[in-house]
Amino acid sequence: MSQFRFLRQPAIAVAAGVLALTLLVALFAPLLATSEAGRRVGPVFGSPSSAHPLGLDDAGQDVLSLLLRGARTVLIVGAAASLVAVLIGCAVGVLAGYAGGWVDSVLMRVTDYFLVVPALPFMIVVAAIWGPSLSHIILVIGLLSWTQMARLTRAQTMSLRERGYILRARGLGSSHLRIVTRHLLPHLTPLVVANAALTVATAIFAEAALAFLGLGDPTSISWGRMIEHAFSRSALSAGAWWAFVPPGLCIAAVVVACSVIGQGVAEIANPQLRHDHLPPRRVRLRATAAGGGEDDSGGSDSGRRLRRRTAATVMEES
Amino acid sequence: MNRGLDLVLRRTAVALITIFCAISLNFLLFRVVPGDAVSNLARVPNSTVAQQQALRHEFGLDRSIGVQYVAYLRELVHGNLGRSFANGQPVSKNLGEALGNTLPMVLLGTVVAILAGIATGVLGAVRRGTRTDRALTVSSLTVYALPAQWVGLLLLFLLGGVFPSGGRVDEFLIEPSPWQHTVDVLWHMTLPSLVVGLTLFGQYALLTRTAMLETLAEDYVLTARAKGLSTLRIVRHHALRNAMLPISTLIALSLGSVVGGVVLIETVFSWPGIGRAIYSAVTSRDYPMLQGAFLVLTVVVVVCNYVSDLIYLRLDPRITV
Amino acid sequence: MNGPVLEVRDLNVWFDGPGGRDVHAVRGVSFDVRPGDRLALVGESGCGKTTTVLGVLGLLGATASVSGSVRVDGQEVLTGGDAAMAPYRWGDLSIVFQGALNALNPVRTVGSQIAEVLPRDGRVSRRAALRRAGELLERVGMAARNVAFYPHELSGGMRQRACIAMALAGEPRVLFADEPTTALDVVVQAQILELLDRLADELGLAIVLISHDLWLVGQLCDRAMVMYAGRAVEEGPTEGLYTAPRHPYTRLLYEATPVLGADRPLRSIGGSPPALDVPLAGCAFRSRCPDAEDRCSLTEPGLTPVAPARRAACHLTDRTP
Repeated sequence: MSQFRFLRQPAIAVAAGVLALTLLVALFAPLLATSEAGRRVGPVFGSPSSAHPLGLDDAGQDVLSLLLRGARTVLIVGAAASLVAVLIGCAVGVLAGYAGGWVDSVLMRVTDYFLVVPALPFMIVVAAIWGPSLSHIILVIGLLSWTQMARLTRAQTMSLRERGYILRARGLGSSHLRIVTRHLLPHLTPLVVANAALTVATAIFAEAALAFLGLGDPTSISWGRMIEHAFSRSALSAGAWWAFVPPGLCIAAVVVACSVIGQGVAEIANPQLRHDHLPPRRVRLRATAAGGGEDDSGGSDSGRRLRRRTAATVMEES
Repeated sequence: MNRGLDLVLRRTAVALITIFCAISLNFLLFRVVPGDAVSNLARVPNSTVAQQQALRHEFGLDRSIGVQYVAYLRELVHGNLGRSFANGQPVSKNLGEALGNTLPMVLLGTVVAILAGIATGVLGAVRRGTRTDRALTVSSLTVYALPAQWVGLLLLFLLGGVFPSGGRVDEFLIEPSPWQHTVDVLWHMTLPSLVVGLTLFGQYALLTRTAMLETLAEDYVLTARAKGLSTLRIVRHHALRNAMLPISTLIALSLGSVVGGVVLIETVFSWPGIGRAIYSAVTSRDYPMLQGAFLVLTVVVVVCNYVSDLIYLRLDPRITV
Repeated sequence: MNGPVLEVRDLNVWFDGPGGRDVHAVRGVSFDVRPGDRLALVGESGCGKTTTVLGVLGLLGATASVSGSVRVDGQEVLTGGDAAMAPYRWGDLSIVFQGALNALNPVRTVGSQIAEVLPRDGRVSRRAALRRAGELLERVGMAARNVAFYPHELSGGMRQRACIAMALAGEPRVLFADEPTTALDVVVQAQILELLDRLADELGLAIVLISHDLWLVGQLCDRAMVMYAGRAVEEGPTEGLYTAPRHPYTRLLYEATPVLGADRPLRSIGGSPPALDVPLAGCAFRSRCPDAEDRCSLTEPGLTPVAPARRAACHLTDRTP
């Protein structure tokens, strides 16, 4: 469906714009934030004002400044955890799919275990045991988010392995490493990119969840921690919606952007969903020059037909 | 008949083996993480070395791993998960209560999410490319992208005056009749269930839409159309019936993680369920509770996967392996 | 009674292409089907024969647009859309699709798929409908108990028979058969062919066969329309088409068809059909035509009578009688 593709592109463009904006904010947060980190600039839960458009939080800090600084933590955790997940997932998936046999069985049993492990409780337990710090959070999230990637790359590797050019490369005596890096990985890229974007979304979710439970890095500001502060320090009873609404919306915006990009890449790589067999809601008729019933295939026919096309009409189904 | 029984037995065996593996790995997880669990978790303020030693001995951490493992399995077979540090009650009793509180709340939200999600997804797929489809997809995606704890806070903020802001029952209700009690619990359950439902709804709607689009492209849908069947009949009896295969499996799969992910929602609404049990076990360093809760959640996930397998067997006549 | 059941006039089908470059898949096709006719649409894959049939039956998707006229019993159905076509679907015009595996819904029994199109006068019970479905299966040479089978439990030939039984359920007057024997082995092909032949005789069915296989066409049909690049290039009685083809494409197609025991070399047609997303100048076949002349690239030849009941669209028909 051509219009589907058309509509799809602007969505991806907007999503990319959101991510680019977040990235810029994360890079230049210290310049953009109007107040220093940790500085009290007004009353506790002060309402939004011209000086502080998003109001003040439980410690009298400027919410907008916190929001800008929080972007950095969120992106670092999202990207780094996703990278960990991609590396583990690809390594496991490609190895299992390429090697096959017992290597495949063992790796897949391990993957199965990580699939049944309840992710959030696991993260809570490990984060609690390891103690709160940014690198621990990243590792924990990464360690629990690679299963999907492993399954997808394994399936793809298994189908690629039997393709002619890979069999040929093997026949010609290419090393396994060379086959994997030269022939397999390039073909896996769209799949990996699409899934990595989705993993960033889960990682951001997980960070917000851990921070909400007080297991986040206590030294850095993040959107998840802002929500936690608002909750544990009774922003609700103070009626200070501005303390938790903005960070939640920011998380949603970044997660939506990642999902749209992930979906978009997946759809471009696998354009299978383009048609359906339902009756169209309208029958599209094109006006034809009134001709006799018989084939009126004359000489300058193609030119005339072009003009006819522009006069296409759409008839409502009665 | 025999074939079906055989398959069910096979799946059951797989589920049991998975549970055994999970139990074993659970044991390992709590024992071989860098720095043993006691020194990390039992950071009791002002604890002396002697106290820590005593704690180690109590958990048998001073014995060899093999001995510990056998002891662990033996206790487990007898349903003994140890005693909670926090209230001295058997862990199994605490967890049983917690799970009993969590499941109805989660189920209520999930059922609503399944019905609304499938309806939305089907409508979006049938009206694909239209304004309706776009509006539904965008709202599903947005709802999916909102963090559960945030949705909980927002609902509390907006409806906190109407619905109770936390807990499972009204503590001041004196000797309520069973009817009063049920109404009270349902009333308390409304907001947390709504959050469960909302966070799942987006996911289910997107999933259903994709599954429906895939089946609508199949040849048998064209056949159904050539047969002159109505669009409603094509969608219900031909497309949805096939799309339900992936949808029901994925929903059953997601349920396991929902029970685990309910930590956030239960924290927001002070709901005394399994998620909150985990959270308070972490904050109060209640090691036996943590291990037990984790085990129970893993088993819940395995059971959900098992159920999803059975649903698939029931729905898909083609499975023969 | 003697008038045509189906009249197709100047049917055009376009598919939306990227960047407004629409694919003109069917270009001005006309034909009639009278009761008891046996017509074949012949050509290589991609020549528009299946699209023609889908266009006639109003089964094209939302990316297609059409022009021309399709009349059933003199009633225009093309311009009226689904609503105009609905009364004739399956009741008068039914179709057997190629690749019977996907044409049947994999999660429903064969019987239920046949039963759902049986004419309903409101009092037909489910059991009666299934019994009727069983009778239809017997009619196509299957056992009545096969109603309870799922498509995957049947062999390819059986599935094709079930599709034919399903097509008969609406008591049609015209049966379209789209590559009904593709992907079947030779013995089964012959059985299906014989079945169609017998049914057409017994029920007075008109058959429109869509095939690339000239041998099959010769066995079953008495009239054929050869299509190339979305256009009819030659039509007439099958006998004459083979023995004295008037269009070079028909001749080459015949020479490319293996015939057992025939003492002639097998030849393939070089090159490939033209792209249909750009306007064609001149004869669409000229780049592959061994006899092409200058005038072939200037104007596109129309179908002109070349013999009694024979028409061909080739400039060179004036050269040799």
